[in-house]
Amino acid sequence: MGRLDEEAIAQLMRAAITGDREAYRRFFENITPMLDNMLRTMSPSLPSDLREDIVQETLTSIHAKRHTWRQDKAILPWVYAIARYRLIDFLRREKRSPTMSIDLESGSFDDWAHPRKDTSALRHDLEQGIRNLNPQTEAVVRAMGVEGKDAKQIGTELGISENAARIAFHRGLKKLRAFLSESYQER
Amino acid sequence: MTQSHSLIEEYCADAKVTSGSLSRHYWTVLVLAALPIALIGLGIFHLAGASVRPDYFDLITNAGVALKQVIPLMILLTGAPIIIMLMRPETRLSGNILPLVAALSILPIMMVWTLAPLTGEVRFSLIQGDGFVQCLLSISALSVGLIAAQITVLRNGAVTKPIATGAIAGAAAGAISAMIYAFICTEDSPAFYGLWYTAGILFAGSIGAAAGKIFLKW
Repeated sequence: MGRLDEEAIAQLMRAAITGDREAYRRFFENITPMLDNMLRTMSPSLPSDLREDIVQETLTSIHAKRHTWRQDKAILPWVYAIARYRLIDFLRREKRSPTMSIDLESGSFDDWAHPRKDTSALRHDLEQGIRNLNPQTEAVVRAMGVEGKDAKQIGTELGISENAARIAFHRGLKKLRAFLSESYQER
Repeated sequence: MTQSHSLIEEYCADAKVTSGSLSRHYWTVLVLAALPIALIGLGIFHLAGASVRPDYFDLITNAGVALKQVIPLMILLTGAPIIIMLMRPETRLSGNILPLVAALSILPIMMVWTLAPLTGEVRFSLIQGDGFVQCLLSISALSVGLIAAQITVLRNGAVTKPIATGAIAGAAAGAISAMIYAFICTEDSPAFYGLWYTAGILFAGSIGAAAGKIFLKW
């Protein structure tokens, strides 16, 4: 079954609240893997069996507290807040009688929904984006953007006019921006 | 059928939500609690020799007297929407709390404004008044029932900031209590009520915070 987007999930919950059992079942089918993903992000060191337990507890809380969701607001921040609360509650209980070392990543719903890539991943993407440019544009972007040379110098080295170097640089940056934006959305 | 699957089937059988809006529930309970607490409180004050001021409705036209109830009312009206928001798990406090902080600041500012041009002895006499202990104790005592009433409503929500929510509920309870107390309070100087009403409201806030920490888990 394909994953539904946030608005579709919200629609399922709206229907469920009016008594649509089938919509509610589909809501749980879609939200369960999302919860697993949320908890994995919040606490990467959490063992999978415990993560499953917290998913179940979160589903129970979602059912018990579904009347607290404002139907005109996004649903995933609400779900995330409940999952985080259940995880923190579990970690507090665990702290009282620790059986293992489990961490809670500091982060918010925005961090989960729009994860930032780390520096090395960005560097890799940047390099790949530059290599995707045609050879002349690649040379100009490396020379101006990376090595810090000016348009006149590059024009002389590559046998093109100063103006042509500047245009190639701006076109290269535009293509690079589009490439990075596409690879970020794919995440 | 796995255990989780059977649980989900149970939830689906119980899908429909029949409870009304959080806001309506909160205000209904608060008003239904405040009215008898006000009547019982004023009754107890009367038996103790401190009745509602006979010229109260004439005095209320005086700004210094009216503000004893208007400012606590502002604290209630800025605090209550925050409390209702905090019944939802994803609510962040941040900027939402600024109107309440502003309302809570007015009484202390009025106190400082009144005291600033005065000398030490006069200041002390105005601050002390005739019954600051009675004021503080009365506001705190009246607030307990109002905090309890709010906690019962808040438990129906999904509060993820129990101490902050309890503290604001406590401050709201303290504000209502101050409004009730103002009916019998004969101290009309902002130097007095600016300090002691604020102290009473903040003390009620601390009771609320403790109650929130204990009773708002789910």
